[in-house]
Amino acid sequence: MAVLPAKPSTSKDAGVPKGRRLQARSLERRLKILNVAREMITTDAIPNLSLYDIAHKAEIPPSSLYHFFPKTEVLLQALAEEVFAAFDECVSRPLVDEEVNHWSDISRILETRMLEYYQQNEMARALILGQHLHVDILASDHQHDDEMGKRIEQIYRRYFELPKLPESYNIFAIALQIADKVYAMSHQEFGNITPTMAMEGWRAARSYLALYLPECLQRRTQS
Amino acid sequence: MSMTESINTPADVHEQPRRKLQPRSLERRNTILSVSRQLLENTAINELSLYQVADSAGIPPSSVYHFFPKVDAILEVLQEEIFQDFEAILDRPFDDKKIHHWSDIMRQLQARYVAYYRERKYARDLILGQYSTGSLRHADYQHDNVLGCRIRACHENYYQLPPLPESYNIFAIAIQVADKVYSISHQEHGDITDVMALEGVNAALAYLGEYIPRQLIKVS
Repeated sequence: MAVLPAKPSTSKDAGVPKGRRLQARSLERRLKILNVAREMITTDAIPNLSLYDIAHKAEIPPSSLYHFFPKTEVLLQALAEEVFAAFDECVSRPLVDEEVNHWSDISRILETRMLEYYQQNEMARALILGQHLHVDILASDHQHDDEMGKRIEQIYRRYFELPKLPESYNIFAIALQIADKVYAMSHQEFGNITPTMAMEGWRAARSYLALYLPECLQRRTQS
Repeated sequence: MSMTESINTPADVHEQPRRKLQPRSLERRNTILSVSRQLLENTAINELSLYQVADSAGIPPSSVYHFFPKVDAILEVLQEEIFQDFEAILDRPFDDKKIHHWSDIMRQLQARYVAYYRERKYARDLILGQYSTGSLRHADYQHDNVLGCRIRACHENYYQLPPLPESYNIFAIAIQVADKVYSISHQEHGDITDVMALEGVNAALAYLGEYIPRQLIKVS
């Protein structure tokens, strides 16, 4: 995950040793580059994205930008990590127990959170759902979904007794990918995830999970 | 379900250059394309170069450049061919005796697509690896709809379908769902494993099952 300070240290470091001050300035520059890039990354812009233009807009010498991000892919990867962190947050935010009646409520609530993030964040759509998905980002997206799938499985197990599930792959990770694929179809055709296609993504993911999870799943007796 | 079913779609029959090429030119163009396909069996897409193609084809680089000014131009043609192959796959008749349930249609189709992907690493890389040459991607989505409509027609040959949504094609979504599962497998294992091939078709059928009831009456 991108190591970004919550608050970049600013001009108050006058008294700190020179090395520390440089480091702070570095972080600030990196942050500035990412801020500018975040604005510039739209679906149409990705194929022609130029590091030089980003440096120009961020008012940072190109040589300095190349120091942080030698290739476009490195910059895109750093931004993809931000998107992954946002998804992690969607999964970490606690569920309201009263809202979990059927097993599908868990995935529906989590999917809705991620969907809202996608719908409001063009950069995320461009990077993850866009057509110019870089091979490296595709790989790390799959890997990240794998990790999220395992965490979602833990949430399910907190509420329900699950039947035996496949061991060589995680059905919750695949369900995430399936929903994303339908969102991607919508994004690429309409520029965003339409309510209709959001529903279809959810339908496809839910019906897939239902291959493994029966309609009536026993709740875990606890707490 | 047979996952090793083989198909015959000589890719070269699809090439339709915009203007009529001289026989020798046409031959060169075809050589370049088939050499590219072969090279891509062992080369990552983003590592393919025009020089490499020229070298392997025994054609001067300037001549390769004449037909395809960029590697992307070659990839676009290859991708277009794959789409045409996907359509040709639908033209092949179904084994009527093996259609007992509506889901058997999708199972037969997906077995053909999986066999096609398995025989061609470049097709897996281009389609399942989501490689994009830019201009072509939109065509891809239009193409999905064409395929979706045709797959729907395949179903309607055998079964009376209930009314379906008009603003999107459930069969187009279903094939994308299957492709996504294949893509996960390709990403992880470099190919579509038996387990994931089955998982892909099952995921597609689960989605279709949201719209198509389990018991569907055959057309007489």
